[in-house]
Parts: sequence; C-alpha cells; structure tokens
Amino acid sequence: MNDWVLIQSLVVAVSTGTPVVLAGSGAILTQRSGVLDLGVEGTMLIGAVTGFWVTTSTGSPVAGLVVAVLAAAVFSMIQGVLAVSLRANQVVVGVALVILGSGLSSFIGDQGDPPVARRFSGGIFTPVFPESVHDWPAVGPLLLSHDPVVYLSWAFVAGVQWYIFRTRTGMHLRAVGHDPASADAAGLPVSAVRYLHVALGGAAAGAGGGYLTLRLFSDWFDDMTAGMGWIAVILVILASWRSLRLLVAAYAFGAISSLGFTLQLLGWKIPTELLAILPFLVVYLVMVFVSAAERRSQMPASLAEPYFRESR
Amino acid sequence: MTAPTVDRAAARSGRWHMPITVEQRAASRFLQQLGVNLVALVLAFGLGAILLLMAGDNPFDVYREMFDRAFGSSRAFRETLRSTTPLILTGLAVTVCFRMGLWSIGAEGQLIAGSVAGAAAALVLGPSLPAPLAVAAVVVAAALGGAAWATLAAVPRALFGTDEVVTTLMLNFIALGIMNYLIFGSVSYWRDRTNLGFPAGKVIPESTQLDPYFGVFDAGLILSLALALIVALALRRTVWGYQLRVAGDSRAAASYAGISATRQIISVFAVSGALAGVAGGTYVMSITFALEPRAIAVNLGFVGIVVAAVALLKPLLVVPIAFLMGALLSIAPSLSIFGVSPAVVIVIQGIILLCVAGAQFFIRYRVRITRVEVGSR
Repeated sequence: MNDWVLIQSLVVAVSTGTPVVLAGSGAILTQRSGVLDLGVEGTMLIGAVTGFWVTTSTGSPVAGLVVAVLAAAVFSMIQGVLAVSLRANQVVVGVALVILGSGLSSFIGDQGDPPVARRFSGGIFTPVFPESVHDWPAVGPLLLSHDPVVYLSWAFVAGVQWYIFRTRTGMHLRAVGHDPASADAAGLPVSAVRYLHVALGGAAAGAGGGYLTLRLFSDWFDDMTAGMGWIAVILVILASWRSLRLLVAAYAFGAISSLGFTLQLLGWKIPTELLAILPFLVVYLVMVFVSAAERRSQMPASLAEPYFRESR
Repeated sequence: MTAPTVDRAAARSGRWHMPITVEQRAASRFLQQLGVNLVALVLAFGLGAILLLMAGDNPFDVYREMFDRAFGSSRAFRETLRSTTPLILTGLAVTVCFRMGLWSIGAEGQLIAGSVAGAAAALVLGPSLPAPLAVAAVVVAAALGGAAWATLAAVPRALFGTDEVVTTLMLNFIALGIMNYLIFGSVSYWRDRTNLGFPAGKVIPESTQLDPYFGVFDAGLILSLALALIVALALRRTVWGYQLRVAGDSRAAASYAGISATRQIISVFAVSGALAGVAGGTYVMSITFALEPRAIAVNLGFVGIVVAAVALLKPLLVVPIAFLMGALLSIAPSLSIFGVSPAVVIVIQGIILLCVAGAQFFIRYRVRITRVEVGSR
C-alpha cells in the first residue's frame, strides 16, 4: 500500500510544500496587520544562506534554523521601517527587498573559508520517529515519516489560526489591519503591532528558507527559492488570510511542483522546463478565475495602506 | 492642499514623547525630489561600502575599479551603453504603468517575450531582408511579443479586476520557463541544431546584428532615446497621456470624467509591454545575438523598476538613471576577477531602490526636532 503512487506523491508534496507553509503562515500574520510584505522571496533567501552557513560551520541543523529565523526577522525589519514608519509604497519596497535579498544572500554565499556556496551539507533534519514506524500502512509515510520542521509547521499553522481568531491580541491584530484609525482611537499601538507582525512574518519566511538548505535541497545555491516566496504571498490571498486553507493550498502547490516525480513513478516523460512552469500557470489561472467569480474579498481592508494619524 | 498640521501624538500619549514632529508638506518641488533621490543614491553606495568593508575588501579600491571598468576605456564605455539601452526601455515600460497606478512588475516577462518574438523574426526574415528592414522587423516583432504578453495581465485586470502584481509576476516565471524550454528542453526553431550536445540559441543573421557606430553606441541606443522622447511627449501632450495621468491621480475622477477604464488599462499595459518587448529585441540584436536564456534573464525588467523609481517616473530622467544602472550592470561580471563577489552590484541596486522608496517620506513630510515640555507624563 505504501508503494502506491498517490501516497508517495503526497509525501513528496508535503516536504516540497513545507517552505511555502511556513513562509505563507508568516505572511498571513504580516498581512493581517495591514502590511503587504512582497519581499518574502528575498527574506527566505537570507534565511536559507545564513542557516546553511551556520549548519556547515557547527554541524547542527537546529542552530542553523535558529539563526535563519533570527537573520530573516532582522532583515524584514527593513520592511517594517519603510512600510510602517516611512509609509513607503509597499509594492516598490517589496520588489527592492527581493532584489536586495537575492544579492545579499548571494554575496554572503561568496564569503567564508571555504565560501558557503562551495560547502557540502553540514547536517540535515532527519525524521523524528524510527524507521519501523514509517512502514505502517498510510499513516506511516503520510503522518509519521516527517522531520521535526514539518511538525513544527503544523503546530505553527494551528497556532496562527488559534491566535488570529481565538485570542484577544489576535482580535487586536485584525482590528489594526482592518481599520487602523479606529484601532488607534481604541488605544491600540498600531505601529508596534505592525512592526511585531512584520518581524514574525520575516521569522517564518526565514524558517521556510532554512528548510530549503537544511532539508529539502541540503545545499545552498543562488536564487534557490525560484519563486517559492512569491507563491507563498499569493497563496495567502487565495487562502483568504486563513492558515488552515493556506496549508492545503501550499501542499497543492507542493504536489504540482513535484509532479515530475509522480510522472516519473508512472513512467511518463515530460520536459522538466515545462513542468517548472506548471505551478505558476496554475496560480495565474486560479487568480483569474477567482477574481472573475467575484466572491466577496476577505482582505484586511487597510492592506498595503500606510497609516498616518494626521490624515485620520 | 492640506495645511500642515502637527502630529501631536508624541505629546498626547505620554508614553512616547519623542522630540520630533512630522508635518505634511503643502507641495513638493521637483528639484527637492531630485535632490532627495540623489542623496539616496549616495547613501546606497555608502551602505554598499560598509558591506564591502565587512567582507574584507577596500571599498575605495573596489569603487575606483568599478568606475574604471564602466567608463575607463572606449570599450568599457561601449559595454556600459549597451547595458543602458534595455534599461531605458524597461524603465520607460515601468514608468508608463506606475504613472497610472498599475503596479505591473511584468517587464521581466515581457522582455523575454520580446526576445523570443524578436529572435524568431531575425531568424525567419533576417536572411532575406536588407539590414535596415530586417532590424525594423525584429523591433516590431519584439514590440508585438511584449505587448501580447502584457495583455495576458491587462485583460483580466480590466475585466475582472485581477490583481496585476500577481498576474505579472506569474507571467514572468511562465515566460522564463517557456524560453528555457525552447533552448534547453526541446529542439526548437530557436535552438542551434548543429550543436545538440551543448544547448545554445541559433545565432541570428548578420543583417540583424547591430554594429556600434564609431565603435561606441548602436542603433538600439538611438531607438531607446527616441522612445524616451516619444513617451515623454505622449504623457504630456496627448489625450491618452492626459487621461493616464488623471487616472493615476484619481481613478474616481477619471471614471467620472467618462474615461473608459477598460480601454485605458489595456492600452497602457500594451504600450508598457511593447517597450519592454523592444528592450528584449534590441538586447538580442546588440548583445546576445541569439536566444540565450542565461544571458537574457538577468533581471533587466526588475532593474527597470529601480530605474523608474529613481527617475521619479519621469521619462526623460529615465535616460541618465538607466545610464548609471547600466554602468553598474556592465561591470558585475568582471568584479569576480579581482576577488569581489559580483552580487555586490545587485545589493547596491536593492539598497538604491529601498533608499529611494524611503526617501519619498522626506519629500512628502517635513521632519523637525522640537522641544517637548519635561514632565508631560
């Protein structure tokens, strides 16, 4: 049973989708506060390269992931300063952060002795449960064969959902993203809430990037995210800013991205270049259909709009 | 204009008594804007220098070397001008869209579509047409290719309001994938069939390769300068440009004035896409001489956003800024020769865009340090 193509494909879809789950759930927190951080792609790269550097130096993937999270959170503070305090155009800042993240991560990859980009993996995350458990029918490969980061991402998704809809601070977060002027009048520190959630989003994107170098590819190379960060930001929109839906969307993305693997199991041959287009084509088509169907948007009403008390 | 009012948040809340007040400026002058952006440029190179220092390089040596390699010889100057051409065009493409408040980041994909279409025209028509006609055919094909690719984002935007940031982004990746497929994944018309072991694009006929005049600049640069002038005039002097600017200032005002948003969105996207497409076409004719994915997909579209933003969305200012960025781009490959990561160029571009985006704050607002009464808590 565990040899079934479906099960094998789902297992690969989970690991391929995990960076998007992490980065996307973080982006939900950021966007719920009213800040549209398009720089996720760049932030993930920062997490990926710093995590790989630390792990190849220390041999500990845990240390690598921690540094990836911290470095990415610091990096995302650029977005915080520009979008919250300086009220800059968030589309332009996002693109700038992707350019900067791409360049800076590549630059960091050329440092060190030997340079980070030429190093071999220093250690990767391994499955939590013993091999024998993986053979249990269906639940073995699907639920019990994963590494700690996958379980962490599930906890994070559940935590984000709970936090946003079941806690007081989560309600404050939604208020700030929806109507900052009223939130301000009610005494909420709008800027502080936004800064905090930009940092949380950055940290999660860093974890997603770290997962790339510390598990999925167990290697670092330039621009290795290849659009995953952008996909994460867009899936947030498709998931209506809800992390459980995002989890499903991210695994769907993982399944589509790893379709080449599935087709190989089935014995089909399709050029990898065409398969690489598929996730982007699907997202494009889904976006067009969703907007054509014109459901009521659940977007935070003040998304991407800077808040300035004076113009209240 | 709103009268400047003081943000008394600081004094009122008691917790945050920062001795700073922020006032909205009544109006900002153009020279002031330019000055702030120039400061942002200098700041970006300063931050780049700090990064170089941290990496153990001497920033003065690196910058002097970069300057030499960009302007030091006629050969270097020619390379700089070659990189300037596509950046003028993508900068204009971004300018047109952003002026209307359409946040298209699709110049990258449209440039690729233009390259594919332009290379096809060069390979098909090049051998049979005289040089000037063949070059014109490539430019037209590239413009059409870019415009068609932009339409894929424009039509959903115009009809359903589909977010153009998302669609243009996805279309960038799709265009890149198609170009990669044409050269690496199949034996297509664009691929050099005489050498199947090493995937490469088929070299375009000589009639479509642009030779530099006086060994310095080629027809592509002249075309891009002419287009900058045309875009500037179109924005200022035509009904199309007027309507675009009205819609950019206020969508509501535009629709109240009876300007058709649907037609306008599609036409603006098409013009923007055509400009980015021509960038791809001239790039193939003047630099790569074949459909070479690795040489074409070098973020010229994204750098176009940097150019347009630094140029304050003014078509004529795009030219000098593109020249500066072109210099930066053209030296990137040679940096690794003397032990500096070529990525430093991308870092500087990113910092420039961030500084310029942040600097807008100081254009729109006046920040003053004021005295706050002690003990207001």
